[in-house]
Amino acid sequence: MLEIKNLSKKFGDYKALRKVSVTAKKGEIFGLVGSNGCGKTTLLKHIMKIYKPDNGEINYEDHNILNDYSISDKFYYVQDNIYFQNRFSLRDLFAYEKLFYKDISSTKYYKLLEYFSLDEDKILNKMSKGQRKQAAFVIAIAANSEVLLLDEIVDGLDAVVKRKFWNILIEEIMERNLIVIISSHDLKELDNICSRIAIMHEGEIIREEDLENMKKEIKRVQFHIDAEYEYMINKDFTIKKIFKLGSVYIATVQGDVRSFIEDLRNRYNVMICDEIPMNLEEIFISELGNKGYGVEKFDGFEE
Amino acid sequence: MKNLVLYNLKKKKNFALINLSIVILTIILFMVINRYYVEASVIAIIASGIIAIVGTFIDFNMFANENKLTYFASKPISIKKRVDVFIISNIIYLVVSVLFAFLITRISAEIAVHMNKNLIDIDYLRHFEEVYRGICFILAWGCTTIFLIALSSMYCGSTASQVVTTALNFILPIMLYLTFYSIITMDLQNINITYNQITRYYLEKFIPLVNIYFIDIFEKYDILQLVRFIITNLLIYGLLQFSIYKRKNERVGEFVVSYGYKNFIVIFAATFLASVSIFIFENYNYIASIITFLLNFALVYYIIFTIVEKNFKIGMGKISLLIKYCIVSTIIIIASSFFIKMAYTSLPDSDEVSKIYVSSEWDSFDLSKNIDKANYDNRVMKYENEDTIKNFLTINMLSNNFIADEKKERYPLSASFSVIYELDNGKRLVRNIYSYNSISDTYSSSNNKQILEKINSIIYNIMKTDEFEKQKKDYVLDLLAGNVEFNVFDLDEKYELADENIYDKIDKEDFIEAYFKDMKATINSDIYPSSIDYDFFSRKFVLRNQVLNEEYFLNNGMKIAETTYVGNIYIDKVYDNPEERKDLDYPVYEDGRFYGIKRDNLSLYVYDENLMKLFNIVLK
Repeated sequence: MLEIKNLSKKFGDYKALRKVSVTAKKGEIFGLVGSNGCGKTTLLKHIMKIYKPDNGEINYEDHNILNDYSISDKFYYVQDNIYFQNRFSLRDLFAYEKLFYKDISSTKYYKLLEYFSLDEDKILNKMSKGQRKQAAFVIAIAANSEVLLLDEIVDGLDAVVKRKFWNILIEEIMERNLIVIISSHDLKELDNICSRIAIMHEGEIIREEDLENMKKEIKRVQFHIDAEYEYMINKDFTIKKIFKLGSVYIATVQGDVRSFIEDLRNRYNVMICDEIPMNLEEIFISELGNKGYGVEKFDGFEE
Repeated sequence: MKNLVLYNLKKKKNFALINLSIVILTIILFMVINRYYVEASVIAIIASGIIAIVGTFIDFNMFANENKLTYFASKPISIKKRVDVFIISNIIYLVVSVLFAFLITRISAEIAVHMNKNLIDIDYLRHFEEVYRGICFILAWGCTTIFLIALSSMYCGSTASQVVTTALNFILPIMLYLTFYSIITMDLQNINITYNQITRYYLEKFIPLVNIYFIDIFEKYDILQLVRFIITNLLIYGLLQFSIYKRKNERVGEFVVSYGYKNFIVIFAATFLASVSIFIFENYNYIASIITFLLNFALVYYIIFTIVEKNFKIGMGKISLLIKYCIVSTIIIIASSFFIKMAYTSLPDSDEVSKIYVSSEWDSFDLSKNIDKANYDNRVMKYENEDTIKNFLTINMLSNNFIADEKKERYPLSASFSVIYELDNGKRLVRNIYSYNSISDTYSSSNNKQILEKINSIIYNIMKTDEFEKQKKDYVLDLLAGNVEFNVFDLDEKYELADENIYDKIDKEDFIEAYFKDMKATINSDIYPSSIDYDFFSRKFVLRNQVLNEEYFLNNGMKIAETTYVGNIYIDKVYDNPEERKDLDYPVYEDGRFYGIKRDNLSLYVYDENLMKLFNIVLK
């Protein structure tokens, strides 16, 4: 288990992380999503000891890893802007990485090369962005680390390669019970793959939960009633957002949706009422909307 | 770690290739075509050192590139270990490449010698020792530069600033030295002194540049040089460890990533430039000097900050820092002037002084290091007689009064000579004495003229002592025995020195005779003593007494170096009388020749190689 407790970081006066606490368990893919500049990469860099926190701790299997390099080879990080050494081919990179990761697997490396049809001797800096991501991913998987941190790993990849990535990740998790933390803006992709999600905004974790629970807890209800809907406070549910489209209301409800429907039926003559499950992207927008990062209406360019 | 070092070394194969190309090119251009053997070696060695340093910058460039840093720092090796890997591999590379360059050029030169024996004479081999010394120097400075690059990289977020701060860190002691020197000079101008040799004496004690830059590492083959080199690098390494601990890998891309270091380097550089500017543009008004210093500082401070911050606006924090600095520095400068006045003018009691060393050389601070070997390089004369010591203290006191009084004339003074008082407890004090020849008749007040005349009359008395005469005689003996290099210059009809050294042309016996007569006459005459040390100006005497048909000016220069040709006087080892040779006081063998002197009867035995003549000069 990777546990981050009350991690805080300031860059000058700017608070990049504010008491961030997150827990990622073995065998799960942990999705880290958030607004632009919310601190996702900063958090990942703290886990990799690239940045030093002002406060807080990061524990892996009950070891505080911040000052301990003895288990650093159990972690592997693929950064967003991938860096390769000058004139390095994938073969050179693999040889270099071998110096650091004692469990690195040649078998996996060659199998993955074949799977992604990558040229081992091509200079990495001459590859396309997608190929470079694949190359970095190949090494990351071959390194056989226990914690894999992937920052915007599928950004710029085609659908086929994305699918390949997820297939390999799922197989790895099933086989080795590792922790994978993926930071991404591609919420549709994460929706399909992540078991647990943390939503970040302005350096804070505003929500962290199993994706299934999250989806159970927040739903969209579409209903048609014979009068104007009036919200009354109810301890079992909260209406995050409601709007009327023609004669039909669409409400985003958090909490017990059953109670909401029951309350609706008790107070109004309900002609239509449907529960619509929300996807991660909708949940994300809804959560950030509550933090003032909503989708405001654009008033046009006229003054 | 070992694997990483080997890996890093392997990565340097391209540099090695460039290095090899340069060495071969040097051999072809300098050795084969132009037959400059020593130059070829030196260029190849320096080029190898520079390539190694460039390679080090490239390695440490990881701290100046966000993506590169993220990649390397994410690997399971600490920054500390990675820095160690870079340092070790680059030092190994430096040593190997420099030695390789030396070896290749040496072998090439040897081949050339064997192919054509007329090609290179004995100088070639002798100069190769200098090449070897140059290697020590390049290696020592190269290693320290590698440590400094590592240190600078911890504070910088761009490669350009890494290069600039490495250079700044390298010259930091020199900058510190010059800053203090300039500020003390400003203080001294306030008390009417310009040539502040004592400043150099004290500064050299606190900022020993020769040791800091291990200049002597290739001159003296002693363990102390090595220890100094190791300590300097250990200090830098210690600072590096602290900097690694403090580094947060943030703000990569900015010139300087550490606020503390940024403020330090800006303030330091601005102080340096402001203080040097007041030193260059001398201003004898003390208040004006301080104001100029502060204004220059403020301007340089602003300019450097705009460059470092890439922003023309300067924040309130920086302005507040500037104001605090100006207040503190003004207080320090004014306070220092009081201490400096005390340090430059206080005198010991005559009971405390065991002996006195006197020299008119401005580099008197050197005397403190090697004073008992008082050689003629520094023209040091020693006095132990109680009365003479009292005389010196008296003229020193008069001289101090004179300085204080002369201040109103607003003419800065240069000292006539320096005196080192060695106290009973071993402590040494260096003081300046101003005598008549420092001051022009035209502007000294009548009171000051009296002081100067008093000083001069005491100097005459000192020059009439046995101590003075004996030292003057020993000097000329050593001079002619070759222990001291000297040049003899002819005077033209305007009594100005000619450029040509006419030592080889003069008759040595006549010369020595003239020298002694001149000296005795000077001591016994009432003409102004031009110097109290070994300086010898014979012009006035020669003109008056007509001892020689030609007029000579004797000027002692540097001590004979092993590689110079100045020592023209030798006694050959095939000296006729081996018994007599044993009796000589200072037998010296050099390059298979032998020479010496016998002081008991003031005889000088020399063999003049040019004249092919053996002299036995009896000086009494």
